[in-house]
Amino acid sequence: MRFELNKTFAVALVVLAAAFTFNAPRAHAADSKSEKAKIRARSEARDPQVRQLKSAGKIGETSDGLIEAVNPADVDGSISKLIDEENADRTALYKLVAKDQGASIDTVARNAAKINFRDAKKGEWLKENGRWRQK
Amino acid sequence: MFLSAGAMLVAPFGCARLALEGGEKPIHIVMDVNVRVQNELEDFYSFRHRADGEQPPATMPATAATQASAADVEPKQ
Repeated sequence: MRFELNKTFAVALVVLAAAFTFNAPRAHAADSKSEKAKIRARSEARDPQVRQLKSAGKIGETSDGLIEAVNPADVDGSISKLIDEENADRTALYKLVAKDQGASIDTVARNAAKINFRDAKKGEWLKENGRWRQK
Repeated sequence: MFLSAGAMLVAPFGCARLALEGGEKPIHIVMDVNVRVQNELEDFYSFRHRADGEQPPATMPATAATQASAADVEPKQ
């Protein structure tokens, strides 16, 4: 009788373990997707202001896939805050993409920088190897 | 029971492992990762092109980069 109970318990435990094992990746994928959606919503809301600052030459894209003030003395508190928020979201996005695609965060950031440099408008500032240049 | 506990610990971190033979194979695999990453980022930033009234750039199928290596690489799961 006790052996039968133990066997039943063991089978139940295996089934539970299997259910957890196979559902864990799906749960992560759902979390990752919702996180990316939130980041995207914030990036999209911030985008008009980021574009305007890029056109004005106040900020530029860097080879790390982030934005930076072209001349730090030229930006006020609100612009600094926007830069910090945008970079925090980009970093979080790169981490999520890296995890989902099995890549390093550095690889994702480099690919993002490539896209950002390609999409930059003429006259916008780009920072590469520590030096600013205009497109 | 112990096997399933072990599987429970390992499986969430498991991923497809590729058996590599020959020195030239890693180039295709690195390219594939970059293509997948680029595709995802292009999709994420598509709102920028919509704001410009442009079409977003066409994304490359990730499988294209692996077709050459698929015959020689055995995915282990």
